[in-house]
Amino acid sequence: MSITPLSGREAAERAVHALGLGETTTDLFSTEAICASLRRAASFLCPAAPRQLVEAVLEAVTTLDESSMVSRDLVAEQLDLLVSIGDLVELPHQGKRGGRQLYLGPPSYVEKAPGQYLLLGVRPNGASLVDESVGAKMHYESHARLLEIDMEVAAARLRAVGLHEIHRSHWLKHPRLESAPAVVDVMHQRLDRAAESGHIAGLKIIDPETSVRYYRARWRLPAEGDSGDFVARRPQAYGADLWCLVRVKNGVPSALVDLPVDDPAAPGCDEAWRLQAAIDAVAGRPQLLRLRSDAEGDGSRVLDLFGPVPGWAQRYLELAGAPVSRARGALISYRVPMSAIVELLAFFADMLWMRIRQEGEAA
Amino acid sequence: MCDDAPKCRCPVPDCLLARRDPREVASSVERMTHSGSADILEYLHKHLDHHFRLLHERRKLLQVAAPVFALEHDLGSSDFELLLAGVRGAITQGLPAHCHVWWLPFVVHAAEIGYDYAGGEYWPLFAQKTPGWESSPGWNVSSNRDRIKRWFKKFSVDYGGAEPKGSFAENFNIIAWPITHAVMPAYLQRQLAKLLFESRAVLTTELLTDPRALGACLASRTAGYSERFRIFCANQSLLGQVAAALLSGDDEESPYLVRSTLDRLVGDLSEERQSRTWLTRAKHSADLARSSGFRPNNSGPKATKGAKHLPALTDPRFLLRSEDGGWRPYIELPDLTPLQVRQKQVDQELRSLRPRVEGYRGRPLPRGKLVYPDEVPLSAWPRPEVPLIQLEHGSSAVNRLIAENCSISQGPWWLFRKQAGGPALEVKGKFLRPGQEYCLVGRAESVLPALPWASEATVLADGVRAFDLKMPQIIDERDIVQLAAAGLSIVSDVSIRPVGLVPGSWDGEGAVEWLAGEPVMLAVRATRAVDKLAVTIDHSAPIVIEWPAGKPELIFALENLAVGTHQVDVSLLIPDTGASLVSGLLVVTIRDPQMSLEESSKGAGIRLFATPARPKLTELWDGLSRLSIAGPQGLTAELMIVLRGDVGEELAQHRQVVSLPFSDGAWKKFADQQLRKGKLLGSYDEAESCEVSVSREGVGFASLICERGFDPLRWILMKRRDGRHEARLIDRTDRDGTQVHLFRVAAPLTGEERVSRGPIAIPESGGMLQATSGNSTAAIVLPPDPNQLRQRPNDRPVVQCANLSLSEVERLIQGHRRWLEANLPADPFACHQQEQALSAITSALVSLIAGNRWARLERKRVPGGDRKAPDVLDEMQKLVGEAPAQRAVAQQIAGHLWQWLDSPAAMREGFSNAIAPIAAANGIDNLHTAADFLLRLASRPGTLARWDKTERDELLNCVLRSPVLIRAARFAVLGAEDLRDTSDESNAGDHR
Repeated sequence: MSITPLSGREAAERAVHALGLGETTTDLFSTEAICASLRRAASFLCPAAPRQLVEAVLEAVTTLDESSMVSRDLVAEQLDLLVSIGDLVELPHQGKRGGRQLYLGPPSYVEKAPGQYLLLGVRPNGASLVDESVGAKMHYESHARLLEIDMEVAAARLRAVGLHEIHRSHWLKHPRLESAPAVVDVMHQRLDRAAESGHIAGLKIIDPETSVRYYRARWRLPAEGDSGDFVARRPQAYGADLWCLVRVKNGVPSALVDLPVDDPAAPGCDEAWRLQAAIDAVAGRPQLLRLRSDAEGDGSRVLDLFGPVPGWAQRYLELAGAPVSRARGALISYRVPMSAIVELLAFFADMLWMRIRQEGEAA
Repeated sequence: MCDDAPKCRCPVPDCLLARRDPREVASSVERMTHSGSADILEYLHKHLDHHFRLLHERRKLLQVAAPVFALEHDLGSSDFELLLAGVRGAITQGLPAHCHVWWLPFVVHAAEIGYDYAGGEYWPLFAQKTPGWESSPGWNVSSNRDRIKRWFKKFSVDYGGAEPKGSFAENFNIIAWPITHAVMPAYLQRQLAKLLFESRAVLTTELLTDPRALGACLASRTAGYSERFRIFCANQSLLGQVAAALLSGDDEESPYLVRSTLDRLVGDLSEERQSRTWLTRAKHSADLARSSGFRPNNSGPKATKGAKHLPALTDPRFLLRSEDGGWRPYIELPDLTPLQVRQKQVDQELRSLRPRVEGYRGRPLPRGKLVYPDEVPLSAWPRPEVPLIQLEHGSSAVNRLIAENCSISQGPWWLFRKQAGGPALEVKGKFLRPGQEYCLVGRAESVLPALPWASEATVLADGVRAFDLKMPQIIDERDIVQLAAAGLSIVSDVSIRPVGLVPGSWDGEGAVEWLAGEPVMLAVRATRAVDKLAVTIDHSAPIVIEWPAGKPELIFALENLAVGTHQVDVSLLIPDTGASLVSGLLVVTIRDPQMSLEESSKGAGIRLFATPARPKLTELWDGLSRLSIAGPQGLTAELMIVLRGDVGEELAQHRQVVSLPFSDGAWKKFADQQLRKGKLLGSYDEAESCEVSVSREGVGFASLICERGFDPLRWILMKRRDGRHEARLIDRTDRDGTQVHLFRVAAPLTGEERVSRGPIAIPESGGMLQATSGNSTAAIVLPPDPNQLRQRPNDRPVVQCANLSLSEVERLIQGHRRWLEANLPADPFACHQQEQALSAITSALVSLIAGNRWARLERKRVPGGDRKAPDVLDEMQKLVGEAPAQRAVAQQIAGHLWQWLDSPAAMREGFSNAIAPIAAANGIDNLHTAADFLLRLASRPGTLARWDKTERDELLNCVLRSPVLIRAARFAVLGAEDLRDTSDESNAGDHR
């Protein structure tokens, strides 16, 4: 047994190494390492509230973060991405306590392209998802983990290490195509049928009047002059803040519908974000998808999103493109090959009623 | 070709003879030509004798002498071919007497077959690889098997050969020798690689140099492995020796296995990718342990005066959750598997017994619950003088071990730190930090000093009160003193906490956990100017570290901490003087990453539970074990059952969509409807294992493998073309004297002898077959022909009894047990026939003791044909006894029967109260034990067969002296049964 004094940098390098990331290619404050720390925290703490995981990661890394690169919002955003792609799953609590919590996504994989596999899920107790026996090294790209392996042997090797295959068709499953007004109408009808809500402690709403370019700034407490139907969140004692639809009259909630309504296995945010996209589109301020050329000059394009998208849209992005460092002001950015761009833009325009803006085009 | 082929004229490459003097070779070959196999055997025997003798000498010199294995023959491939030819030749010739002298080649040959053994039957494999083994002239298979065993014994004496140990050796007293000498049969090697990999974190130089300790350590970690592998691991010294050799460095000779054998094992292990990875990583960890000289602190943290008691690795986590307007205490069930190292029954009892948790009101938790990580809500605060967790009917050794190693911290105050979005976690060190929020719980009689920032809170548990503490940033000196009087300390000038890597657990103030092998990195923060930091681990000599100039924080790593709990003390030293300014303490727990028995983590979206845990295939099929599935309410998942054969091939499968959660009641219904139907029914008897899995894409999956178990004797039922069944015995014992008896349902205690080899025709009315060989027994209930049952509905078993005596009652108890413990095939009619036999034996036993009038009532109660059993409740009550006290007992029983319909526990409790007035007069001192005994005797007497014999005889003598006791018990049992039937009929009528 020995004691070794460490500098902050040395401690961060050791942590990166222990997380299974190459210490020379990424640091403890990169999105890859933050996501690895979140997965590790989840492996010990789940079922848990998102706040618990975020706090656990912040507590471990902020001391070493001399440049203050890691913020609570950044960690929370990465956690949302992990839930969107299925590393973690938000489910109703299995005990008597009710509410929803985060659970470990089952160790799985989905074929991104022949020989290229997206790895999903988290094993308990800090165990790694795959070991050397698969014969390929795992690549970390932002929140995603990829494995490139000979397609002839891939299925057998991945199965041998306990990974289940998720078929592309299942992974890409999404709601049926609907117009934005139809989606908003359904929300109104649900709230019409909902019982009186009474006072809701800690309720926050998305302000539809605010800019769709800065998601975090759209959240606020209900104000006296507010009337209408909103996408909202409300806290619960243990577990994820619950997503809901709320009808507000003069700043006072009058009716409430908890989400999800359509699929209890989907996180509430999936329905909430789709609905908000519909509300924004109906209000004439559709959410924005920006397209720009890729600096690597290989003909692919980079796509920036300024707000979160439902898990099914996120999963589409994972298969069609690869996450890259986000552009200034964007929430997430993906590189997408030219061959996939037309179909992808049509998907976002149809399913989330987004406005596509080319780089340099006036806002 | 041999290097010197013209000299030895031997057509095999690398032949032994080629290495010898040419003149000797020439003469040898000439002799071989004349006498054939005998000469080959002679030469090989002499060579092997020399080799094994040297090996034995070397092994004797080791600190702890290690045995020699026949597989370590070190023969090249050509020499081995020669050996094979010699052995086969001798066998073909009927193993003539002159060959017996050169016996070592036979031992090597038998061990080589042991290496290829795949867990089935050894001798057919031997016969296959040794033509003529079963059919040579004048051949006696049995005596030759014995001869091989004798040679192995001689090998043990002459060359220090390994000796088989454990239950496998007891049951398979011949084949255990060649299998033991095969070092590690190929089919078990993958599991060994996995075990080494999963144990890599606990490897130390001490373990690596002490095969016995290594074997014991590894054997204690095999709970989740196949039964056959566990049987192998029961021979701990062998396991340790093989493991130490496999983990030896690449360039070093292992003292425990010759190089060629070790290379062979490693080579075979490496043929499969994952095994190779596991072994490589385990070896890497062993290399690290060796190079760093990593030794655990054997003495553990040294107890010093004033030192705090360190929590055990197996202490549970204690937490509070805010619910229903108050704080509800919860215990997180601890992983008790580390205790297995200290007591080998731990695993079996954890798996099969019901745990009681102090403070948890209600029935004990389901059997096997401690195998699955989970939280248990408490409704009363645990009493320190009562063990926190105990196993119902557990052995005193295991319960004592659990009590000593699993407890909550001492009161009278317990401190819990509140955290955002999560439960309040106990701060075992009882440290408070300014600016934080806590919940303080104390015994009801405890008085908290008046603190302006404390307010009484509601705690949802009896025997305690709680206070919410909202600590101010600056704490008054007087408050600090008052808190200290309650055993609570304020820490403000120094903090010590984990950094870099999210720890496995962190209570926020004083206790942190990591997994073995992970970097333990800590940061110490000081609010005052500091010069140096002194760090003390487990009260060893302090290590002083320079504080980085101008920095408020110092980071350091602790390396090579052994699995267990460690106390880390830090002292900030004042500049210039070197005096200690302030100190802090952290309890660091290093947890073995693989010690969890089940993969079913509480963080998984879908979890599969078995009660008892890790059931056998037969337990699952016979309804002795139930499954349940936890998952999100309202979702569906796919449940799949796959039956597999001896080599893992799929025999049959069934898939079904089920709604979550899936209770054990739902499983029972599912099992009743599906396990005994269609393909599953047809393949059950042939199946060696069953895989149950449940999955839903994107939500979770869980699976469980139930093995049939590795039994020396096993019955298989097969359906013939004419639709009738026949039975076949798989006899893995080496003995010839296996006896088989058929018990017909008509005469369930009369055994008819049958020949053990070949198929046995099953009587139309079914029955039970029992095979016995030494201490091994296997019994199976036989399925009847359903048409025969329909045609002869009035057939009833007849049980012949001798005069009333203790020995006659014992005979009936044993006879009942024989039927009770027989395996049930997947046939509903077999179950019916078994019940007929059991019921007839019980009735005969009761009639024998209870007297003629009761015997008449028993006969009268039996239904016949379409006639229902008459209502005899009142008559039974009268027949219990005529004395006023006896009538009172009967009255008391009659008045409570309806309360006992669905609750055996209520019946036991109520019956013990009912017989209380007559107990003492009839020689009974322990009412509860007597009640349990009498009710078993009157309903399931076979279950008393395993009762302590002295106590059983005493209680039986009481019953023989006072038959009123058994009449009362039988009245309780039959009365409740009759009322239940009436109630069911009436419910059925209502529904109609």
